Formats: sequence, C-alpha cells, structure tokens
Amino acid sequence: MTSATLPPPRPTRRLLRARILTLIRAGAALIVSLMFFAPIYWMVLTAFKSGNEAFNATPSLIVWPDFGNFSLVLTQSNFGLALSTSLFVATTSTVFCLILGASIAYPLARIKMRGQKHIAFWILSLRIIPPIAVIIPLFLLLRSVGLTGSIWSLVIVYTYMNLPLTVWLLRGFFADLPAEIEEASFVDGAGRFRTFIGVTLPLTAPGFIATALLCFIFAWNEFLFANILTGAATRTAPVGLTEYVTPVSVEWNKIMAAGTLVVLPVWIGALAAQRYLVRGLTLGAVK
Amino acid sequence: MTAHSSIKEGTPRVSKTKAAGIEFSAVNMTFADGTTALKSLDLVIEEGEFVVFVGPSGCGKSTALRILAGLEQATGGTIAIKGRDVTDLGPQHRDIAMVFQSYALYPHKTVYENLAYPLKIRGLGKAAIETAVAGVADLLGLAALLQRKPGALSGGQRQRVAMGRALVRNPKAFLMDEPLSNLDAALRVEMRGEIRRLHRRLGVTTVYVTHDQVEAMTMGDRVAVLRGGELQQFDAPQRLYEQPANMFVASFIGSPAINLAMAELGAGSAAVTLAGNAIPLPPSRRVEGQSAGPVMIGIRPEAFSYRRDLEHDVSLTITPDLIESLGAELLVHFAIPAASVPVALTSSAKSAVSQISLPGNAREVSTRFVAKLDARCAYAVGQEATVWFSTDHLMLFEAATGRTILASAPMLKLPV
Amino acid sequence: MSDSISTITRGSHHRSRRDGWTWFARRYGALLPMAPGMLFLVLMSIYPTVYSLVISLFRWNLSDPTRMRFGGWHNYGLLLTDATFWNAVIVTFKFVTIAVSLELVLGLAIALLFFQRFPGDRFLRAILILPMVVAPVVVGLLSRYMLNVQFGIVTFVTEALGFGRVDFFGEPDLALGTLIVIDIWQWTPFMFLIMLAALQGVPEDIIEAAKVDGARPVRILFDHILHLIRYPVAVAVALRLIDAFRVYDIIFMTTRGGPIDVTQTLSWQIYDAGFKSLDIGYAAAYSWLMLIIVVVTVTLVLRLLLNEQASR
Ligand SMILES: Nc1ncnc2c1ncn2[C@@H]1O[C@H](COP(=O)(O)OP(=O)(O)OP(=O)(O)O)[C@@H](O)[C@H]1O
Ligand SMILES: [Mg+2]
Repeated sequence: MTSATLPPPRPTRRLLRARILTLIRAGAALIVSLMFFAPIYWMVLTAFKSGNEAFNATPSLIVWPDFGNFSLVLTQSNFGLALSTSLFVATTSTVFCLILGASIAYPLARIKMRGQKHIAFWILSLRIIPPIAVIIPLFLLLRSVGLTGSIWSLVIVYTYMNLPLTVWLLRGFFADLPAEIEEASFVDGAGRFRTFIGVTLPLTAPGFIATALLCFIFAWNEFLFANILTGAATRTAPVGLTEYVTPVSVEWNKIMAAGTLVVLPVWIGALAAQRYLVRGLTLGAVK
Repeated sequence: MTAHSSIKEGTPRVSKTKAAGIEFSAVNMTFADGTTALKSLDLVIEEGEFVVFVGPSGCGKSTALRILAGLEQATGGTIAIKGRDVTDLGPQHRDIAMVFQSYALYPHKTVYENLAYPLKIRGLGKAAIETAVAGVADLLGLAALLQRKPGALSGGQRQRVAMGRALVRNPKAFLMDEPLSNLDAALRVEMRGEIRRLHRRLGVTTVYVTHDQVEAMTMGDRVAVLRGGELQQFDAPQRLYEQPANMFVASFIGSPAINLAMAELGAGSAAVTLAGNAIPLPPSRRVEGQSAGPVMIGIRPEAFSYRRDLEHDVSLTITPDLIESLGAELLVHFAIPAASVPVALTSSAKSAVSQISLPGNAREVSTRFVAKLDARCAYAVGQEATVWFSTDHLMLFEAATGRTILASAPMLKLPV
Repeated sequence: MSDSISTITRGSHHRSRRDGWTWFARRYGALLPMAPGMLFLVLMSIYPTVYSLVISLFRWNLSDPTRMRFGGWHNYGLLLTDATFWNAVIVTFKFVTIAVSLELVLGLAIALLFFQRFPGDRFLRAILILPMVVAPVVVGLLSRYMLNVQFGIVTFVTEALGFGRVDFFGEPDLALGTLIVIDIWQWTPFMFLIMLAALQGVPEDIIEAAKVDGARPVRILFDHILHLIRYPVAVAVALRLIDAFRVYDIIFMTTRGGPIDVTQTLSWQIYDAGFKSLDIGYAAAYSWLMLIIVVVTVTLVLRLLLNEQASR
C-alpha cells in the first residue's frame, strides 16, 4: 500500500546475484525432479498406449489419451477383484491398527509409570525384524488355525506389521497435545474416557488421519505376505499384477494400466499426508 | 588488526567531514511478501560511537541491523562501513561481529571452540587463537567454562559466550540485537553496565537494538528512534527526552509516559487552553508564526510538583483516582476533561493502555494523566488537590501531524 | 470427588483387601486399554521368534513333514560353511551399503537444492516424493518394461548413444548394479524428504552467526550443518538399512536371484529355502543369522553416526 508511493527499488548487485543463484538452483531442482518423474511418466503414458505402440522400438513421448486399457484391466480379468480385496484388507487393517495403536499409545504418552520407555522401545524394535525371518512361523501359525488363503490372515499380518509405526506416531501426537487441555476437561468434570473422546481425539485428528494414510499405503503395497498367504480368490492388487506377466503374452500397456491403478490411490494418499510424511516415515523421530 | 581502511576512490557515498563508522544511505527494505520494513533510512554513525536503535515491535530495528550485517539484502540504498561501500558484500566479508538475541552459539562445539571459531575461519595459528581466546575468557570470566558445551551453561553464561565470540576478533563494528532480553531483570541491569564498560574500553563502533526505552536511554551515546520503518529522530538521550521531534518520540521515551491531551492555542500563542484552563505562555515560550487553533499538549509526569515554587508556577486542580507508591515518589493518577490525542500519532502500545483505562461513560470527554510527585505530598484518592507545573515543561505538537511545535526548555533532570 | 475422599478416609483406618484392589485399579486401571494391543503384539512377535528358534535346531523339511529330527546347531553349521550363504552375505552388503550411502548423499544434495525456497518448489517436491510410494512390485514391472532389450526406452537410449543393446538384468556384471540404481530411484526421495526436514530444523540464527563469523557456505555445511543434522541422518540411515536388508519384491519381479547368483540376497535365499526347497529348519536358522546380521549392522552404524558426535 505505502510501497506504491515509493520509487521502484533498484536491485543491488548482490540481490541480482542471489536471484541468478536461485534460478540456477530452481533449474537444477527441476532437472532432478524430472529425472525421478520420468519413469512414472513413462508408466502412465504406456497405460494409455495401444498394444503396438507399447512395443514400438522408437518410443513416442506423447499419446492420445485412451482409457481402453484401464477398462479392459478392470473388466476382463480378476484385477478389479484384486483391487477391491486390497482396498478391504488395507482399510480393515488400518482401522484395527488405529484402535489397538491408540489404546496402547495413549497410556504410554500420558500415564507416568516405570518401564514405559522399555515398552515403547520394545514395540519399536519389532520394526527391525525382517518379515522374511518370521514368515515361516507366521505361515505355519496361520495355517494351523485355518486362516491361510483367507483375507483375514492378511488383515492380521498387516495390523501386526503397522502397529509399531502406529503406536509410535500416535504416541508422538498425543505427547504434542498439552496435558493442560485434558486437565481442564478433568476439572470440568469429564472422566478419562469422556475426555479422550471429546477433547483428545478431535485435537489429534490430523495425526490420526496421517497415521491412517501411512498404514494404508504400507498395507496396500505389501507383496511378500500377500503372495504367500493369499489364494486364487483372495489376491491383492500387487499379487494380481504379477499374474499379468506370463511367458506367453506380456501386454505391457495393460500391465502399466494396472500398475497405474495400483499406484494412483497411494499417490493421492501420500500427497494428502505430505505434511506428516517425514514424521510418519521416521516413526516420529524427525518432525 | 587496526583496519582503518583507506577511503577508496570512486565510492562517492562517503561523508568526508568526519570518520563515519557506519553509514546508511537511503536504505529501503521491502520483503518478498510486500511488507515494507524500512523507508529510505539515512543515518550516519560516527566511528567508536555506541548507537541504540529503539522503537516498538515491528518498527524495523532488527531489519536495519540485519541489513547492516549483510544477513538481509536491502532493496535499495547503500551501506558503508568505515568508508567502504559494503552494500554488495555478504556478511562474511563485512568484518563485523554480531550478538544474537538467541545467542546462536554452536551447540555442537565447546565454549572454547565457539570462541575460537571466527579466528579459525580467518586462518589464525593455533597459538594465536589460544592467546586470543584466553584473553576474552579472562575479560568475561569464562575461563572455567571453556570445555563445556553451550547446553551446559546458564542463560547469563551463554550471553557472555556470545559476547566473547564477538569480542574475540577486533571487528569493525559490533552489532547486537536485543542481547539482554533473555536474561532476568537483575542480570540485565548488570550486563547493561558491563557492555557499556567494554565499549568504553575497546572503542569499537556498536549498534545495539532494543525495544526497551530505558535500555536505549541508559546505554546509547545516541539513540535512533524508529517507527513503521521510518527514522523519527536520531539524537542523544537527553535531547530525545527534552526535545522530541514529534509526539511519537515524546510518548515513546520516558516512563511513566508523557501525559498528552488535546488543547487550544490562543491567538499569537499567548496562551494555551487545556480543559477550560487558559495557561498563559510567557514571551520566551511563544511560538512564532503558529496560527491559533487545536494543538496537542504534552506534560511529563516528572514535570509536576505538589507545591508551588519558582519552577512550578502554573496550577491544576485535580482529583486523584489512583495513587501508586514508588517509595520516595507517588504516581498520582487523575482524569482531566480534555479529549485524548489521536492514537495513530503516539506509540501504539501506550495508547492502547490509555484506551482501556477510559471510564465506562464514553460520552464524557476525559483523558488520563499521571503526576510523579514527592511522597511528602500526602494526597489521597478522591480528595481534590492541586498540582503545579511550569510552562517551561510544556510541549506542544501540531494537531494534524504530531510534529513538535514547542519543546520543553532544556535542563530537566533525567527520570530514574 | 466424594469417592476419592471416602477411599482416603477408609484407607487410613484399616487396610482391607478391597482397598488393595482399589489402589491397584487406581494405579494401573488406566493401563488396561493397552492390554489387547500388547497381547496381540506379544503373541505375534514372541510366538514366531521362539518357534523359529526351535525349528532352526531341527532337521525338518516340509516335503516330508513327519520326519523331524533334532539337529542342534546342525543347520547353523551347514550355513556357515556354505559358500552360497557367504555369497548372499556379500551380495546383500554390496547392495545395502552402496544403495544406502548413495541415497544419503544424493538425498542430502537434493535437499540442499530445495533448502532455500524458490517459486514452484512445493510442486517439484510433491513430484519428487512419488517414487517412494510406488509399490515395489510395480517398480519391478516398470523397470522390466523400460529395460527390455527389444523395445525398452532405455535400450532405445543406449542404442542412440552407441552402446548397443544392453541386457541390464541379464548381464552378471550389471544385474546387481541395476537393482541398486532402481533402489536409489525409489528411495532417494525418502532420504531427500528427511534431509530437507533436518535442514529446516537447523536453527537459522546458527547459520547466520557462522556467516557473520566469516564462514563461506561450504564451510558452514561441514562445520555446522552436518553436525546439527546428525540425529535425523542416523534415523534415516538406520531405517533405510533395515528396509534395504529386506529387499525382496523387486528381485522377485526382475532377476529372481540371477544371473547365476549375483543377486542372491539373504531374503531371497531364505524364501528359496523355505518355500521352494521347503527346508524350513534350515530357513529358520538362516532367518536367525540374518536377523543377527541386521541388528549388528544397524547398531554399529548408529554407533558410528551418533557416538562421533559425543566425542567431539
Ligand atoms: N523475512 C521477513 N519477511 C517478511 N516480513 C518480514 C520479515 N522479517 C521481518 N518482516 C517484517 O518487517 C517488519 C520489521 O521487522 P523487524 O524484525 O525489523 O522488527 P523489530 O523492530 O525488530 O521488532 P521486534 O521488536 O519485535 O523484534 C515487521 O513488520 C515484520 O513483520
Ligand atoms: Mg527484532
């Protein structure tokens, strides 16, 4: 407002230099980003290509968008079913994770007791065990209760897999909430449970959403357990994808379309959770 | 390192009259988001001077200091340090030292390493660094703490280390941005004196930023009062107090703040009418060429006395509504039936307070005044009393702009 | 309110059994919600570990599940004298160390590009994080398509550059390197994000103080920033190590351990032993050795990254 009345500022040499440097940095960042984006672009592009274009030795960089591959993938095979299985498994395990996770994380964050740290770190240490190292006993355990081939086996495994992450993240979010806010609610006469539902939960909702998105992403992308624990009717999307690759025919355009369908929801989730991504990926260690 | 640099040829913006320590010439600062933090700042700081930048929050003091340090790039104008145009130099090349409000100690280095760092950067030898660090550590009483990390120091000790890091290398200027604001009151007063003594001893040009007018008055050789990015006045503390350039400066300097109210200047400025009382102005206090009409009047709380004498010959009848004891003196609060001055022309914080203290009946025109009186006066709340002052201590400001028309006559004692 | 008062007065008169119970409930009642989740975690972690420890001491092949003989350290002995195990150790370490260290360096470099804001940086950052969340299976398929010797886009490029057709997954000299490059593509964004957050966590006034003290950008990076981001770096490296040791999906989709044995990682071999040869006693012992290797490596690296700071 007042700046309009001033003469236009003369950029000093140093300012000019800073601007040029910024331009160089932005250019470099653009090139790097494009390099990381290129394969993704190629996948999505191929998903829109006809069968012949996909095999063309001289690749075309731009194609006319044709959603044919997507509808074929979704209708002509079991892939649609696989997607819905994935959706169910990922969503259900995420819900379980949040319920169990919050019920562990809240007392851990709020109640003073000895050994609290040990419990938290024991839970964290579960993250270090390679899944491959426990898959055989888990497989045998789930088989002995007749759950192999059922989607519930995956729900159980994914809940277990994501629970340490959930506990650590939620514990951090609860700890970030000033205890005074809850204490005010106690003083106002609400009990712990009432306070948790009425005060704590709404105030930590963004944390819950971010945690849920991450749990969902990890469950959605998981392959090792899904490959071993599912049967023909209960394949998840990543497992379903592998079946497109047969020695007889490899329809890359359809595979890429299916791949795009697998990746798309996760991208949306990741972009939505961007603000909490670092925190989530480091189990709350870096904010 | 007595780097009295020669004045380079071809650098025209250098004042030739006296050795300028630091020179701001038409410095403008508009941030990327459109905030204008400095408007055409012109300021010449003499070599070896201790200058304080003061003003309310957001007035641009830190910005001015950061531009001087090279941490921020001005959008216009030039900066010269010891005659050298440094506008286009980064902070690395300006040879200045800075004490940050947060101290900005390197948390991963010991006190010794913190103090040694600027010297190490300059490629000094190990022995020379050791001597210099030992000297500074002695000066500031840090010798016992050299192997500690900043995390293991108290606030006051950290502050000393921050000072030490600036002192260790004989810079062309010291810059300090509210260096004492994180200390408790007693320590702050102690460090205030210590910084002044250090300055006297080293004689290095120092620019000190604070929002505390008491700190500004007690520390500065000269004080620059900023408001909304504009320099209001650059003067010695006593002159700021007695001869403020405008009502803003008058209201910012002094505690308790100056009493301000609307008044009416008579024809030929023979008298000024405050709340119905015509106060005749002696010839020496008349303002040449000032047309009659509304003005704003200012009287410092210290200007009042409870008894009449040669220096206090104008009376005002008041009814105290609050009396605060300071021990030897009383702060006597009262309302006078005159309109308040426009908030926009005073230092914002204080006018906000005076608004809150207005009585509930908004239609009643009244303004709050404070008198600082000798405790012997024995005035009581609700009992009518008389206070005395002199026209020598009256200040008048132009109604439209707040510019000073009549400053108080010099030689008033400083407030505590 | 009245409840707690009555508890106190009663308690002061005589300690009955019921008071002990209220005391317990007051003290630990709030922990009760933890029970189901903790039970689940304990069951799902202790059972498999103990079970796998036990079967690792047996000779047990599921192709003949009735024949289960105690073998003591037999499986471990077998493994430690087996050249394929040591090959897998070497392959895994090559993969893990090269991939993770390059990801760290690249991630930090890119984070430095993004450290100071520039127009459009948010958009580019959003693009940059996409690879990280692509399902590894999809990454495997995509890389197979792009690296296809006949019609892959990369082949098109290598031919245009005069290198001819290169079979990245088929050449024994290239296969592991190709997997490493794919891992770098997918996980550098992870490092980038954490490094950027770490850089943004460095107090600005420290950098400014260093500037005023005369330090140039490179000096500031090495003297201060790298020290101040040690903790996030350690966390990121540890997490990346843990994940890199698991590499499986991509190998499953691309080289399947080949050509010959150049991409036979520990995970891959455990899977092979357990689900192809059904030699689960052996696979369990293998799992234990792998767990030990992972834990030791991660601990050592964390020590290295964090302790150096303490000694400085
Ligand atoms: N990086 C920035 N971007 C945009 N505006 C800024 C920036 N830094 C400061 N400002 C604005 O510039 C004005 C002056 O800021 P400055 O920090 O100089 O104030 P100050 O006088 O030091 O106040 P305080 O006493 O609160 O420290 C303020 O309005 C502030 O909001
Ligand atoms: Mg400031």
